[in-house]
Amino acid sequence: MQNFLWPLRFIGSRIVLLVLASLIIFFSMAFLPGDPAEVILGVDAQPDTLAALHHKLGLDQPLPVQYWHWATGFFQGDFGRSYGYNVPVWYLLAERLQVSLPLAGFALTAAVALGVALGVFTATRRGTWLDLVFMGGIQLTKAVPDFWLAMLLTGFFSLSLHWFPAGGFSGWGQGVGAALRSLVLPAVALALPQAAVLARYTRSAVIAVLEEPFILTARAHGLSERQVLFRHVLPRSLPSVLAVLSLQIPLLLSGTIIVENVFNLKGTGALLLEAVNQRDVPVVQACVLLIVAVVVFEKGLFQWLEIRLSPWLSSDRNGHAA
Amino acid sequence: MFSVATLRVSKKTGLRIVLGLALSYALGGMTSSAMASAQDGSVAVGVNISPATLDPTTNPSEGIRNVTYANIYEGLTAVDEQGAIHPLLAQAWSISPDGLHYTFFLHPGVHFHDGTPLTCATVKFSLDRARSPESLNPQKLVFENIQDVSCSSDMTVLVTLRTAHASFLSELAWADAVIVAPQSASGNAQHPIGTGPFIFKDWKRAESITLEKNQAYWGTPAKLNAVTFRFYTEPLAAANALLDGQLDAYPSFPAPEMAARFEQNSAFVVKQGLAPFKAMLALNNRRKLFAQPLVRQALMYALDRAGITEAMDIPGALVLGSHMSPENPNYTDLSDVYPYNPGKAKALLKQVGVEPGTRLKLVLPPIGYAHTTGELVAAYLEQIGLNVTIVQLEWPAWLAQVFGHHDFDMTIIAHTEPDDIGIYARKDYYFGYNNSSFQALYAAYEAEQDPVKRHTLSVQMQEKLAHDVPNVFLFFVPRTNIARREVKGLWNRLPLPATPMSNVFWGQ
Repeated sequence: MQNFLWPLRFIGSRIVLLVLASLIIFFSMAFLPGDPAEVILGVDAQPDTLAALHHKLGLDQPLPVQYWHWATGFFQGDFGRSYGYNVPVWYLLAERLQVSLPLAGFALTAAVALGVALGVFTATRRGTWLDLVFMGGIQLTKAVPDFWLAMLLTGFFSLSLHWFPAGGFSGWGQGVGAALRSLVLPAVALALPQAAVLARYTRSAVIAVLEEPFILTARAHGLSERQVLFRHVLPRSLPSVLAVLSLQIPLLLSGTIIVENVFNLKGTGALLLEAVNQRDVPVVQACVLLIVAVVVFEKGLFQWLEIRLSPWLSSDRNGHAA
Repeated sequence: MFSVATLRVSKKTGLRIVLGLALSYALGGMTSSAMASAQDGSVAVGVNISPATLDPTTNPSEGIRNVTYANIYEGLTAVDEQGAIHPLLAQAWSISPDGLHYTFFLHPGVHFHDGTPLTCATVKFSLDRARSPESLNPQKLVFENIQDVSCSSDMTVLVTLRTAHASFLSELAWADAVIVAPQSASGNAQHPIGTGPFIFKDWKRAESITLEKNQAYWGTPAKLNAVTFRFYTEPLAAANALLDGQLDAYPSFPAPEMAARFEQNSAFVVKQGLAPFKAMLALNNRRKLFAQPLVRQALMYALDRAGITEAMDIPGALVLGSHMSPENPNYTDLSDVYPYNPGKAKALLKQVGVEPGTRLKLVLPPIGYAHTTGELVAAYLEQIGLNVTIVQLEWPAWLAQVFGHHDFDMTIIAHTEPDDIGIYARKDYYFGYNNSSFQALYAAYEAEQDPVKRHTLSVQMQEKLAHDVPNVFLFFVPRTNIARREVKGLWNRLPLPATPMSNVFWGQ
């Protein structure tokens, strides 16, 4: 019974969270000083021009009415209309997600592949000079700010070697190859610091498992180091690696704003920043809710995965994860 | 209108660019992408402000003007690089001696990009739309002075003004006054349709806009087949795009202190161009303290404006003494009226009875030059015994506080509007300068049609402001125009925000 109700409870509580988030965003934007019409019309605007625009944007209505309009629209799939761009918000989001989603996906894949591989590699060679060299490199990468890394990468790989474009996104229309090529450097700039963090956690997790008595038992049974690693160590250390990863995904989402700027990529990060600066409330609402939704559901997914991958936990935790 | 992103000078950005450029080796000759653009007759132009919509008659954004003005849209009159007014959609006009009645004779054979012919009805629609109660026109004040628009024939427009306004012809050349057609006007924000030498083709919001040559253009056709405007928010990304060959020209490069790096690179030509730019320490004249001319003059004496200008570290920067910058043909150098003299400043404050330690709030917008200059201004004012608190605001908050509520003592901002000395005749404007002798001068200037007398009156207005100092005038900085050596025909001097592309071509 509990198992059956769990997804419903999970989704229901997340929706309540989203509604609360939307209320907080809406009213905090409303109480921030600044008027979207003033931003659009600039400083030569006369009071009657401002009033005309207020009316056009629906800003002359009371705040609760404005929120109600937005919220009822939202639950019918209408995200509202951008004040500044004067187009439906979903249209802007769709345009920007074409850049942001592949970038985040690319960066995430690279961070996981590199981080986990390095973590396992160094853990199994603990104390050797290879471990020392890689750990030093990892510490260094962690300390490097991503915008500076982005600059180094463009200076070397674009302006000197001409392997990759220095910035911008060619768009999917120009071919998948060109589009991916323009995302390589930003994805690497995003992924490297995250991979470094992941590598450190993976290393400690793997080392912790390696020191457990059952590994000794496994070795005593005559399993090869390879078998020990893949059959016993990795499955056991995966949950704690996943826990770190679930914390990193929000960082990858927010980190894109700075990296997007250096590479002149116009993703959701840039859109959100611009919308806040223009008091474009419908766009801010949609962008923040998107991030909140991703974080909330991603956390849920990872919790679920963690439990599935940790059979030794499931007897007492299954059903209480929400 | 002010440009938010025209100039973003900060130490940090500068450092980042030095690092970025130091990493790149000087590129000899053309990169492959630049060569490709030269072959297909296209040019990629870098622009700082990305437009949110593409209709300059409903939004004052400089970004819209940079892309659309004189490329997509055209007005009855046009302005040339030197600021002189020429016929465009109106091939000729006559003005009644009282300056109230304008008759415009339209150019025959003009069509909009969708095939709609230009007639008097189109012009009447455009002007009526701009002055209607629902109008969102950023320069509504100009159009509200129109009493009536009528058509005596299909090609003859009669415009009657309420009061004589001799700047009307040059204001008709502004992007706010471009002629739009009734069928397409409401869609222009997303898909602009004008009469100009380029046709709107493609828009990736915040990223790029592509225009194509108008093959059926009514005048001299454009030399290029296509123009792409790309938008940059980060100076480093802009510099990289130029070096990488993604851009062929950057007419207002956002980090002028870095121009020297491009000067050393033989692939590029760097020019300093004039464009309206009047940076000032704006004073709230409604405050009792600043209502006193002697206090305002004391502030002028207190600031080493030459030093502040030098601190901008931009070649060609000039100290200003009044509200006019050197691109304007009427510009007069009045920078020496109140030379730096802190002793005299203190004496003046004492004479008026301003207590030492008087508190003042300096509200700054989030713009590089405001930040740099603000710190210096505060330091100089503290030397004459004033106690300055700096408040940094983000753009919408600054607009609301300074422009909406007039809730500030001092702020730093650069006015980038062309020919806008008239703002000192607007009593309700944010700095609240209310001076009847200036208002009389301005009225005389607008009533006068003779260019020589107008010039004299303009100089008198500048002198009046230079002596009365409603605001502390600080400096002018030129635009930095960077282009590949082979790109010719770009405007270097800009009387108004625009990037006219119709005469641009690939040369040797």
